[in-house]
Amino acid sequence: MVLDVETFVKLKQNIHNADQFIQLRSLRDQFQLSIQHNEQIFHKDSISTWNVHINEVHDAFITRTIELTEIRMVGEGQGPPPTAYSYLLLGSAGRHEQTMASDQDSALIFENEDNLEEIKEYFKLFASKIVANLIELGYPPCDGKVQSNEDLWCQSVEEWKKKLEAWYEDASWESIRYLLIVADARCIYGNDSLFLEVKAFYRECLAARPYILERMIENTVQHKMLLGVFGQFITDRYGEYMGSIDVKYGAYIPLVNCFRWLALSEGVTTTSTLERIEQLMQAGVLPEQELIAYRDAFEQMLSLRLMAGYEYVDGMYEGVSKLNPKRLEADEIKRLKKNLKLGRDLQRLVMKRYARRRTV
Amino acid sequence: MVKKTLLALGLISMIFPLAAYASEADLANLTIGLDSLWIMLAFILVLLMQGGFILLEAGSTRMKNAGHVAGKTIFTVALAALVYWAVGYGVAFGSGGGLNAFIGWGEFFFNPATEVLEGESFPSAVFFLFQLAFAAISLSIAWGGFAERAKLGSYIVFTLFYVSFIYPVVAHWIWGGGWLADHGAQDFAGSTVVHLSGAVAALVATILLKPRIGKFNKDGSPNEILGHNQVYTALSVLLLWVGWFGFNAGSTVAIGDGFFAYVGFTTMLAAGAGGVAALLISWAVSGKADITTMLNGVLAGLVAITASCAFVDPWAAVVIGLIAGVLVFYSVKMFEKLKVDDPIYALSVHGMAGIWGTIANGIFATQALADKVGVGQGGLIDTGSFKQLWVQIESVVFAGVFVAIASFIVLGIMKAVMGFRVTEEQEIVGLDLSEHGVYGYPEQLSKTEKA
Repeated sequence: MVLDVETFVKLKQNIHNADQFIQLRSLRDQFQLSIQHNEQIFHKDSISTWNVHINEVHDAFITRTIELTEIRMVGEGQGPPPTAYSYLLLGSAGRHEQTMASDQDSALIFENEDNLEEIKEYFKLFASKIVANLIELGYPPCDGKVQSNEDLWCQSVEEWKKKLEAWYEDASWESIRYLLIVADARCIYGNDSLFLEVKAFYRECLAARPYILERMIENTVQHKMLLGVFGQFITDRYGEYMGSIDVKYGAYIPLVNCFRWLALSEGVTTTSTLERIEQLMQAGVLPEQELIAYRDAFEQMLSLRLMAGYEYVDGMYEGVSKLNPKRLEADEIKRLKKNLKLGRDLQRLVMKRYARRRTV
Repeated sequence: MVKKTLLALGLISMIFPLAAYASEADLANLTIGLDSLWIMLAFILVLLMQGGFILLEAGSTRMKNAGHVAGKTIFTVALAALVYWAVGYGVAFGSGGGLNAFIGWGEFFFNPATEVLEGESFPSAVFFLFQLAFAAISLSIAWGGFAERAKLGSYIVFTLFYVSFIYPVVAHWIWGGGWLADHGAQDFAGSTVVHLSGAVAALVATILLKPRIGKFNKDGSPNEILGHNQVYTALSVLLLWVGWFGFNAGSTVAIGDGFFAYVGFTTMLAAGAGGVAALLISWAVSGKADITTMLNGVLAGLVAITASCAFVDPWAAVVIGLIAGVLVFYSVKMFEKLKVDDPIYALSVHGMAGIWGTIANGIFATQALADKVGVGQGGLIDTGSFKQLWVQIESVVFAGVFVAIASFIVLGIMKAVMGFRVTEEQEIVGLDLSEHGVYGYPEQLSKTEKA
């Protein structure tokens, strides 16, 4: 398969028309295979376009899986969904930043009804079937159990609100972690308005408790940019990935976290990091002359994430976060070091910014 | 107040009439007694360092080998005592024989006088004990190369040869009036004699044994085999650090004019500098302040200052320690790159730092202190002369090569004749079970064994 815009359009069409999971699986395998041999595209300036294409394909797979699962539920005698619902993607999928092999981070919101338990039972069954079918398609389940079939992440609008409020009140490390996860949520399927209601509530709660932003800082800057004091990469010292840098946690996630925090503190509601950067510039939070530098940094992280690739484990595509700098050309290495420094400066800026807010 | 003081003085002179009205002969006796006690104390401190080695090696290796590691250390010290008494001491310090420049001869099955003899400043038995403790330390350093995969039998065989011949020959060259001593080699308490010798034997052993199962991947990249108890490792360093004052300060073998305190002082500075430098360099280079590296840094500082503790100014002791701390960090990386498995970092801590410490003398030794100790001369910085530096390099090279060849012959023959390494199965089960039949941590491990 040659990768061009037309291919993506056709692929998405095929996904949309598939009515068996086995068909979806074979389309997924084709997709993986075709990208595998196109590593060079990740170096190009057009990375953000590729990122959009790749994420649209994943979205198509997930959407079609939910649709087919809904149909199967009827076929199996479970009936149609008893209420409206929103199926949410969190994590990198929520930010439109999936690699070729992201795991499942998802949640589900359904309407408030009197027979809550019955409804919940339906949606938990529904969600677990969606999760299982996505596993069939090669999407690994979430290690952290942030998944639509888990009790915590499959709840009614009212329960969601209560839970969010409780997290805000509690403000423990774990609660803050959940709040930051929810900050990247988007609705991929179902009734968007349920999600928008919960999201509006999330922002109200935050507006009422600006101090929570301070608690969020700790989590936001917890991952250090993997650049040593001598300007060297900090690499794995042992094991399979010896000499590699962790591009996910040592480069990409720190940037994501900083822009998420800035977005939350400035009321920017979009979830994609590149859009967050754009809007933060427009809001005058980040100096405009740095727009290009931040964009470049983030796009490089996206491309390196794709370069790091994935492994095929037990029939699933599992992302690899480690990348050996030896695979990079000299100017790419130089660029990465510059961008890691930029990320470190950004982390400092976030911390300073909070200090300033507090004194105002 | 004055009354009280006078009263106290009066009482003291009643209790210690000798001290108050000592004759010259009594004073000499007192000096001999104090010196002997000091050496005895130093011997006890150095012997106690074996406790440090038990914790160091056990902490740095896996649970399944813990009992074996601890037990074999005690056992080989026991065996070393007999071997050193029968043969080793005579090779190191025997003064007879026509080849005195290369090997000592005499005093086998050492039978010391029961008291101080005319012209001696301490009983020879206490000197024997002190020297035996050094030999046992060097032996325990060598075990670093054996760790987690050598047969128990090979420990026995190697002890026989190392304590009777290999170690004593080097000790003779530098401390027993051998040819390096004639050249003026400075190794106050054994950076070369004790530490480098042990480390070279460890190197030969680890090369002949090959790495532990799972240490290196097929592509040659190393895996980290974590030790099972970092608290043990930290405690081991404290024990060794304390013991080191017996090692270095005790090597004055006299109370004398109080020079032993100065030796302890430089020792302390270098140890501190080694730990600080190692922590900082690991932090700067790998992004994490690595505890194992820091602990190795303290030990490397101690090993390095062992040769030079009596020869250098305080500032130089700090520099020697700092460099040792950085050196040990890069040395560990280097051995891993060379695919040499060094489970308890003996090659880096005792080998590289031992070499550095010995050579450092040629750079930092001062003329005044060299005169005071009466060995060699000042180093490059103080005198501008390369002579001492050359002598130091010479002792490192010759001692290193001798120990390497001798160990290679002993271990190579042993490997061919009786086998050196346990079987793969035994190694996986652990030496506790394969060599001794019981686990060091029975409750922890028997469950997994059944499962």
